[in-house]
Amino acid sequence: MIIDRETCIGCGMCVFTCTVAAIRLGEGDIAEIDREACVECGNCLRVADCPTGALQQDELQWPRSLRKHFSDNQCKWPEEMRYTLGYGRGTEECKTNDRTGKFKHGDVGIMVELGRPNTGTHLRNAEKVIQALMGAGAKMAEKSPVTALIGDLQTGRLKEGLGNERVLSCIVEAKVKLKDLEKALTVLKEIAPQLDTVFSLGLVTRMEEDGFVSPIAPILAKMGLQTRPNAKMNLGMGRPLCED
Amino acid sequence: MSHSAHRFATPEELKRDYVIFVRPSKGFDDVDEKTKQETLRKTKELADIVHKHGAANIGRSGAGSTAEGEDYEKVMDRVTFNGFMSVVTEKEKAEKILKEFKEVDAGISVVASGLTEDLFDVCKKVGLKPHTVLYSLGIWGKKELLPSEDHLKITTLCGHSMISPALIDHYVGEIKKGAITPEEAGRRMAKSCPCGIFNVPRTIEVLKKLAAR
Repeated sequence: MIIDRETCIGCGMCVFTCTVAAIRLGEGDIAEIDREACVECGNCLRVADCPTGALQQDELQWPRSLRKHFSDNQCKWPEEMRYTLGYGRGTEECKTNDRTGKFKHGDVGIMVELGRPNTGTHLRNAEKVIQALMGAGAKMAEKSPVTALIGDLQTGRLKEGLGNERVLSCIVEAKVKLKDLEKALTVLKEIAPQLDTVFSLGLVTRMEEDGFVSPIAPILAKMGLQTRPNAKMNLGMGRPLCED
Repeated sequence: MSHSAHRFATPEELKRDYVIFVRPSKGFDDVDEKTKQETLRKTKELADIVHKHGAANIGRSGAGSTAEGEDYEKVMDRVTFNGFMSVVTEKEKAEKILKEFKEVDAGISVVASGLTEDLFDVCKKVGLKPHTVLYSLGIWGKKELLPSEDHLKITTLCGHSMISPALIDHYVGEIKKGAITPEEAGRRMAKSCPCGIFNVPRTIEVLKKLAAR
């Protein structure tokens, strides 16, 4: 995003809408954008109703364009990275698993959403998490926006020059076997204090045969971890229903 | 949008926040023109059920939401294959909606977010069996960067984190001055989250609490 200093009248509405506090009123009460902090989410442009059109979306080149694709919830991915029919930052994880069967009994999906809530993240944090999870034997999700940024599938290093790009959030998606879940959660515990942001952690699992018993509960209990009281569940209404 | 599993609130507050979404699947529901048309028809049929039961919000990525003031029919008229998202504020409504979904048996994936035990209870009553669950283990890392818990109760209602803490502070200030009602502030905030997942009644509750301080 850019702000035209000549036409900005300093109303300040864009300041409040910025998801990462990158806009402020500067000298002469003219709005200024910190381009390093800006994640190109476009919320200011859509919501602030800039009265003079001073707020503008400039043309973004790679790798800065990644900021927009990861952050702007109304911006579709380029065709080569469009893995879903929606606008999400990740895959469909549990959402369509009753059709796709991506997660089978005995698999656990690990969803590390960096920068959420409200902190944003540099992509270098994703690289640290990817490398930690790979070291614990986790397999990165196929057809995931973050996986597509990996330049070296042996080491988990991102493609050159991406680490300093900043996004509103991005989701490192991986999968482990149930027996390896404890190891993966242990490395996440270790890496969490080394990041300069937060992450929301989600675990995806097929339910036991009756549909109401979670196979990961004993492992979490053993590690002293608790799930939040709310969850997201695929209700098994897709047809044909994908069973293992 | 894994974040509908991470909506932050107390269990008591979560009793007024159930998300239901219908999600066509790439490679299944978009394979040819005939399938696409059938997907659109089924999506509308399911959305009509949610609308009939008085959802607090219905919306679609790229098409807008009822909570921001868009007309329901106009939202559904826009051609998009990403299904729809909705919010209901009562468990009983969620139960009625899912019961009718089961009767329609549209074959498109349906996802619900909310209190785990409540949703399990609904599933048992309706005769559904959760297939796959995304459990939240909360927030990890540098938590000192986070805004207050009251802010999080609003900001996590948007699946893409488009509600800024500063916007909340701005509207709380305006409410205190009497320049805007909490209801109007909630509606305006929904504009940042056009996918249909934002819960305006819950937002109004928090705004009133913050403005009363």
